[in-house]
Amino acid sequence: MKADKDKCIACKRCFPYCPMGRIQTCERHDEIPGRVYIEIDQEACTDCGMCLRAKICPVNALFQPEEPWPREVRGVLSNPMIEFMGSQTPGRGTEEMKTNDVKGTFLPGEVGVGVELGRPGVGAYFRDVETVAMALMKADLGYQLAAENPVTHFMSDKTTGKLRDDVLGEKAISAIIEGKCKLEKLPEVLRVLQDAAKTLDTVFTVEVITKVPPVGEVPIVPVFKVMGMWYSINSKNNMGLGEPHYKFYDDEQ
Amino acid sequence: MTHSLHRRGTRESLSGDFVVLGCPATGVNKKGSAPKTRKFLSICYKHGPINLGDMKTGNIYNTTMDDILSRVTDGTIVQCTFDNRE
Repeated sequence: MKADKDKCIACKRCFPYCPMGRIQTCERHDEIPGRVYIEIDQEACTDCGMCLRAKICPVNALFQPEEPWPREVRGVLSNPMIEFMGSQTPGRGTEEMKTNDVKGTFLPGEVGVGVELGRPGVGAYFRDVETVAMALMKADLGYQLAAENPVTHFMSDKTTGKLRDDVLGEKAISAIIEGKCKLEKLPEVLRVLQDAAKTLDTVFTVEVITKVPPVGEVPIVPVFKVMGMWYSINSKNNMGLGEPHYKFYDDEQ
Repeated sequence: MTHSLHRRGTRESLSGDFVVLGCPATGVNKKGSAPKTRKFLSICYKHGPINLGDMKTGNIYNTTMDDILSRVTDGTIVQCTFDNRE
């Protein structure tokens, strides 16, 4: 995002809308006497478009230039209005468990594991995303990357989790590595993530997805308890209302 | 916290919040989903949500229900937030 210095009057009304915080500086215009404008730190800006969508600039100074590759990835991951063609879903991720009832993406005995790096105010560089992805793949735990996920798309080697070198210096408000593995591998996957966390210059949260069997016991909860890991009870639940219903079990009607 | 980040209040006042998403599945039931998604939104609207809308069009705080419904297309993902379960 940029501010047109010939229009901007440095009123600062856009400041509170920036998820990355105070990334603007005030500059004195060299041709218009007395005019002060804001300069947006292009290294810190993730091109999320929040300030522009807020429509609060009184002089329409904010504008989003069409960014060339690799900077283009900032908007793809950070601007929820941009739909990544691979996932056909607006935002950073995929449909994941939201459509599991009709797609059967996560079968009994499998768990989805997503790693969401970055948060408003912090962000995440793709070099950190790569660190986590490569740690997961190097551990050889059968972790299968979600093919339609944008981060997977940016990988130059999907067997090692290596990202393209030209995106490593780019940044997003957050980026999600998505994939799945067998339930019995979940403790080892979580330990890999705990180790990787020590080397990162950002924060991440982990999402774990499971199909709840008919008996109703959530199979991932005992894993967290044994490992002493805190988990949020604010889970996302697929209600199974979609049609046509995916047949998860042989004796299912 | 998905789709409820606009909410402000104490932990107690927000404790009853829950979000319902409607998401067609690409490659399975996305084609022809628009009328079903509109019906889903209309049903939600009858039950007194505190917010409702879709990511691209906006929500009932910055546009109208008619506008939200008219912009639903095949594949639109919608969300509806309630603050109680009654």
